[in-house]
Amino acid sequence: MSGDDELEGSDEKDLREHFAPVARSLRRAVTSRTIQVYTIAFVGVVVLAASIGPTIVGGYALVQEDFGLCSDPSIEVLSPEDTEAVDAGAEPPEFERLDFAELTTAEQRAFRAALDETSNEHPIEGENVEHLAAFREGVLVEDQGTEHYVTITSSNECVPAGAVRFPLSVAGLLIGSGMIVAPELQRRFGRTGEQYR
Amino acid sequence: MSEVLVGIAAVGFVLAVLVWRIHANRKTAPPAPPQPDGGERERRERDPRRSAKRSDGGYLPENPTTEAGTETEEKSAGLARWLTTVDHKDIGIMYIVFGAIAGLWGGTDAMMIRTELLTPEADLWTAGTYNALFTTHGLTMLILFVTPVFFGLANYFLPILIGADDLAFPRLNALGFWLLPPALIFIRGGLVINVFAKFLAVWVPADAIDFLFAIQPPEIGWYMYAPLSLQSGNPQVDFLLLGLHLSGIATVLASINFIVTVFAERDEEVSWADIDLFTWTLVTTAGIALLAFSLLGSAILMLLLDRNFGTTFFALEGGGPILWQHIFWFWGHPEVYIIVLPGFGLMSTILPKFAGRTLFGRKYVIYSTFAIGVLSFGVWAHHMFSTGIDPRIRASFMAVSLAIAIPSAIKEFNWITTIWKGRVRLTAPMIFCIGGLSTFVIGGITGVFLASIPVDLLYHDTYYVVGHFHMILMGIIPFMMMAASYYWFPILTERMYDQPLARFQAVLMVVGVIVTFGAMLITGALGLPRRYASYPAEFAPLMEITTIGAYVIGISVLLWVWNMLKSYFWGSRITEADVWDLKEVGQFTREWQHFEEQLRERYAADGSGEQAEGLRTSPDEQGESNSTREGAK
Repeated sequence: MSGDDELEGSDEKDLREHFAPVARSLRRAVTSRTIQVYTIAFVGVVVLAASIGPTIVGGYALVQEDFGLCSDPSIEVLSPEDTEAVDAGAEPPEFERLDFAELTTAEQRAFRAALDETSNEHPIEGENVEHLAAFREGVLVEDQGTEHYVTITSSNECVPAGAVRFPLSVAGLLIGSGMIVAPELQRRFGRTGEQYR
Repeated sequence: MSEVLVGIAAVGFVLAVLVWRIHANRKTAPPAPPQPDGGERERRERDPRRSAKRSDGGYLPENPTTEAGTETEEKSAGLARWLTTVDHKDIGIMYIVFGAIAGLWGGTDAMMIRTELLTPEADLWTAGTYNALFTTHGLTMLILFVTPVFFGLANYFLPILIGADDLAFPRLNALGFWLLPPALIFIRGGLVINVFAKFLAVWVPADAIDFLFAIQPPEIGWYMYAPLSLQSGNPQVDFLLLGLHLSGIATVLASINFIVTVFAERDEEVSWADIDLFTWTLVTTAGIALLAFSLLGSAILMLLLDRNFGTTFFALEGGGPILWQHIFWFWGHPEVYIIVLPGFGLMSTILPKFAGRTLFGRKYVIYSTFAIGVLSFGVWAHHMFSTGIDPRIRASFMAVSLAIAIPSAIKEFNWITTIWKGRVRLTAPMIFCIGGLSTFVIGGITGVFLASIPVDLLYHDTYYVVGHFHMILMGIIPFMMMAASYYWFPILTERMYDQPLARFQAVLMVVGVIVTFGAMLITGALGLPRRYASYPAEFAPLMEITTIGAYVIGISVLLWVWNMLKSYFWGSRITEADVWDLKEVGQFTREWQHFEEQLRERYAADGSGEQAEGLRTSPDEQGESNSTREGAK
């Protein structure tokens, strides 16, 4: 700031007087018991909100594999008629072609099961998934003379478990909840309760 | 053979119940109608003004063998009351409770969506579950939450505001409400059936209940675009369409009722010029709904026929998938105004009460409501700018879409001007009004950008669109519903709510909405497409902020539920009607006068003459008379 811009003498006094009511009301607001209580509760809600997600995701990460909730990608196998529709048009898309025999045992099992399902979907159960990349792009599988379009409908990837995420977020939940209820508890049970009732 | 026996038994059971009911009715029938000796019935007939004005209300003819005639004196008690009532207040409360439950369910969907989006990969729910979540979230909020809650408020307050005894057709009103629970089951049943099947499979062989597993939550988006909606093999899609059809019929029935009530059942003292803003918006809403929902019904039937009977209305070889988009959005965009106009009405009703001034430019607010009603049918193709439709058609829809911002801006201007130099009281309803004004400005301006074809082509199907419409909808719909729930809480329950908690909840809600949907606007402006369960990792910080904001909204809603329940059971009792000091600012409107009358009758009937006397004192004297009222401030 240049020297010309600095306020001196009566100008500074005028400015102070002009903003005195604003400063007063700001001071009153900051020292107000009500505002303090609202602020503590508000910060508590923000801490709580920031902790809910990591708690759910962190907790889920701990149990997902034990309950078999991830790692088996689901495939969809279209009927020959629907496959024709996918592969139709003036410029049909270029799909990789596979023979049923080329699929691994787990992929074959999922292929057959998906054809039996009403939804035409089934997860590939087991470790042996060789053609995941092809399924992700969409592939035409020939089985007993007919072609079926096969694609991944859900990768079912596992949530990466963070070592400290879950305990930290649980602590956040407790702290946040505590900050929300603390003013009310103090009002009800605290010694100073009567003062600001 | 066994099916025949079961059928005969069922018919026999129904007949036996009917015979028993007729017999019971005869035994408990009210006494014969009074003779023409000055009784109530005769007096009505002698009074040509009343008898000419009074509708039959959809009641059965007075007949001592039924308990449904106009001579029925008292409501049934307990569950029977709620199952058989045709009273507009009861049905209003049932609508509100139903809508609130549906809203909480739809809100849970939203929280699940945001939880999935905490991580870039689709690793919490499957991609299919995510698709189902955003489908059911949209449908539940639009169809089962917003309209029922606003229609509930309309049921309760519209007759009071226009001085009518009830809605014009009470039985039609009850029918309209009772179509909604089956609609909810049809629309949301996929999840329930799926969970039920999994429980059942513990005891029953899975092969025997294979058909139950086939019913999955629909994954086709709330807009049900063809060809996906035609090709989906999920039978739940058909149930969803039937549920939507039922809810559409319910909306049409209610709309007819509101329109007829306002035109034919108004008190003589209430002229068109006196009608309040909430009623004006309801009449306009009902008019739009009448046209829009009838069309939706036809579209749904065509889609059902395409799916099940081989017709080709929306198939490639017939009308084509774009035809579905045209018809859907011809309903869909007016639907946006069907759900926001009552919110506008509530804003115009509530805001002046706490600004200490009457609404600025009342006449222009009413005209702008009509303008929105008319223009709402001329903007549907702006949802389809990127489908390759004729550029000349696109340009005309861009012009109308820009034009529809004008009546909305007129409203905004009038609301802000009403606050200007007013004596503003920051009660919870007023915080919601000011919050709603703020988010409506952000949502409205981002909408004007979207109405421009080049900008729309850039932002179409990104989070920008989601941020834009949620800024508008959240600020006008839940904000105004909650504002109304606080403002009219004393009338609805004769108790006062926890005001500090309500103020805190209102601030949280406003902050949560601005953070959540502000972050979405930025995410969309950076180009992230919506409706995907996974996204590039560089968007993770913005998505986390959005999710935290969403949880703040969730916590705020739970606080509202807690406040409503706590105050309903344990709130301080209201003994004086003017809890908001509306007499001082000359805005002690009809619903409050009705409430005052109700309280006066209540205390007079209780024999509490002192209190009844107190209620008859002048507003100034009343101001100092009651501690409950002080507490309410």
